[in-house]
Amino acid sequence: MSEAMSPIRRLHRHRPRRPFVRGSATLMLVTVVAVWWGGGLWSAPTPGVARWENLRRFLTELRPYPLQGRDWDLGLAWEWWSERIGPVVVEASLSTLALAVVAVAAAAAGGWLVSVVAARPLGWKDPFLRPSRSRGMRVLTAVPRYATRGGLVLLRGIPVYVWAFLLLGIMGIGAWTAVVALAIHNAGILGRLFAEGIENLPPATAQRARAEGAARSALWVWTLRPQLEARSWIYVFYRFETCVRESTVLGLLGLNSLGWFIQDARAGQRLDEMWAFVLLGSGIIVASDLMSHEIRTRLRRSSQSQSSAASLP
Amino acid sequence: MDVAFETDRVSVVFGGRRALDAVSLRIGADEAVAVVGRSGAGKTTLLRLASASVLPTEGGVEVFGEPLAEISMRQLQTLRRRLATVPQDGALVGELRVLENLLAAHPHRQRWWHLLRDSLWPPPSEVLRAHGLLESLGVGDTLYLPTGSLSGGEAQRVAVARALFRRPGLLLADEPVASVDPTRAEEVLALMLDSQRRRGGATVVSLHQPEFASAFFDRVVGLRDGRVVFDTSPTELGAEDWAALYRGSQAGGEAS
Amino acid sequence: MIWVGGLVAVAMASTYLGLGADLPWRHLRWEQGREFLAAALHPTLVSEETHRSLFADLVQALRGTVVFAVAGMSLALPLGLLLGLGAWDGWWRESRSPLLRGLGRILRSSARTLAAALRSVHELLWAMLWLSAWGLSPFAAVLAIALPYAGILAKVFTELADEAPRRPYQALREGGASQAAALRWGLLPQVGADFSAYAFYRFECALRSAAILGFFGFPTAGYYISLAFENLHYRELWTFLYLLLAMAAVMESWSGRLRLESRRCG
Repeated sequence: MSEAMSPIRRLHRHRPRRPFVRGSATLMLVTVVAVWWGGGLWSAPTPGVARWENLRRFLTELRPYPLQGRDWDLGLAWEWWSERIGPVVVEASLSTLALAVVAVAAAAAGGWLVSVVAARPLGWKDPFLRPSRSRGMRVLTAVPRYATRGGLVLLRGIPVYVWAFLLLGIMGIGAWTAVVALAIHNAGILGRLFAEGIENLPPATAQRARAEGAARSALWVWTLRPQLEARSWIYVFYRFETCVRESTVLGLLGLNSLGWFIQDARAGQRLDEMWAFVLLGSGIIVASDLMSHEIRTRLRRSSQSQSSAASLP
Repeated sequence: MDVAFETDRVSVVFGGRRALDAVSLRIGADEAVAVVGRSGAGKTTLLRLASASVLPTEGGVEVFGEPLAEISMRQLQTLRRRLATVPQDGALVGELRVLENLLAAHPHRQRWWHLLRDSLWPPPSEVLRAHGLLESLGVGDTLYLPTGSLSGGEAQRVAVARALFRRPGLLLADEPVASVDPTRAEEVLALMLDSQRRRGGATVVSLHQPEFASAFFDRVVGLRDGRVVFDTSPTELGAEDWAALYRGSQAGGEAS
Repeated sequence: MIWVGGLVAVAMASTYLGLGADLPWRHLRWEQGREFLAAALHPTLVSEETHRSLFADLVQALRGTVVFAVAGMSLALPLGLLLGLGAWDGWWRESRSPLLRGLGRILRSSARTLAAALRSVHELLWAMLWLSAWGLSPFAAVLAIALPYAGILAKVFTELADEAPRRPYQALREGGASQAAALRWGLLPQVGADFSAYAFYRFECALRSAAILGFFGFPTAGYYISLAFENLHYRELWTFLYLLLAMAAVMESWSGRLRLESRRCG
């Protein structure tokens, strides 16, 4: 048996391997075990009995206040709704959505501008055909590219919520603060996606245009933009969905969005209202997801450019 | 005589086109049968009937004496484990290694603990058997290679090995040597038939090449436009039979 | 068409928010802004108040962020796989009885709805709900990450599985393979690379979410950021911001390398 196995062992030893993938997977697994084992998750500052009491109270207080401790009554429920929730539904949802719309538009515009600098073949001396011949020039032309790329990492490496928190201290409370916070984080993401889009295009068309003497700007307007437009819209709508999600919570910081009403209800210990606003937020997110998903499917169908969900960071 | 595969006046209609037209066949449990004919003659459809991948529009199909139309899904699955197919496109999963493709085809390693074991540390006896089969087909060295990296001819031989690994009672091969060079093709066919004969299993192979059909098989079935033109032993086949099969075709050829 | 729609939407939204009337630089606190930016060049490893070393705080910020992200993802992944594959198209197509097919459709749509509900609540709001219901406990943060992420993973997994070629799965089933075997050998190899790439990307996001949960008092990077900012310790603040950035940069280059390597066959 073992003799017969020896050629197989040889084959097994020389099989193609991916040590980096394997190593990463192992590292992940070890980390998971270590986190559950020694991450301090099991320490509990509150005793168990208090916890259950907490949970029970929480669940009873989720019922609309006038209905607590009595039977369901549609009239009372309606009264509660039209007094406490109804008047602000429109304002809360509209401001949340409006923030997302403006922010994603600004992020897309910024991302487009930056991507031109951040994409490799566009920065070459002879775009898409060949980089500069001298080493010094190559390094020099790479500087703005690396600078923008680094800047993009900076923008997207800090979460929206942290951006908003920092900007609050500098710009004060206002719609602009929320818009800027959302826009700069997403510009970091969209800028990278657009730049990678340019780099991953099949270069043949651009090379032909360049070989016929197209200037950099003409290359951009007539060759690259048309090829990338549909996919860029898909990215933008995808980011729009995340922007809506994020903008619901920006209100927790005191900015004008749904989160503000949630925070207000929480601070006043009005769990019934808090719960209603959380549900409202989830409704907004589902609705905007559905709309954006519909648009994205249509865009994808019309452009044939297959971009699977995994390629969307 | 036990019967492995029987069709009784089977017709199959795809979107208004008759792929098979009242075909009645009976293939014994130890027979080796070649099915010949032009592209679109119905060879592939005929082979796919046995695993209930294609359902007949009219008529009945029996495999190992079980009428396919009447049995439950569970019984069908059990029955299917006694078959092996070599479809035209190989049915190999390119993302798996060759050995994994063979283990995936094993009819009795289907439970979750088998899957877990085969994914991590497959039983040496099975690995040995897999390697032996591949070696006899001339592709032993591919055992641990990603299947997607093989050439067309190699992949086809792996597909044959995969089918034989199942030790099937009925082997259905759809042009298994189409992209293998001629001398290699003879070896592959000989090995396939030999291993089936030794274990007492039936074999049905669809083919292009008349010479192979005559050289290796007990019986040759000629199909044309979904009908059986002849069904006889190869010694009794004359040039006019082959002519009847391919008459009116362009340059005598099929393109596969 | 889409351009016109987009521009109209943006115009309406900015009017609604009153962005034109309330220009951003009016409220700008130049002094603070300049100080904040200047501090970016001088991050400190020594606390500005107590002059203690910040090293222990940095380690705790990193550790807390990683712990919550990993714990959350390790729950989200199995749940997401379960929901995602439960909502997969391929399961019920093959069944012969219309009753089973109908049942399958119900299961599929309920898995989808559950996933949509989970992901429609932001992780911070989940955290808030758990905090109110259960009190301050590490599990509030873990669940706050795990639940919405399971919903997102489920959605993407379903989309990927629906897009993958179904032929190998079917071929195995037609050869009598059990559903588990067909899934393992027929579907998993097709989607494995995409699934893990997306899960890894989600892990990057989980790190960001975990950092933010610090604003609610959990011991992650966000906690130290909010503390430093409220005390106007800008140099300290930048130390923790750089920690966040370093984490993002490391994760990005790691995932880039992984994507490159897993595209190689084998």
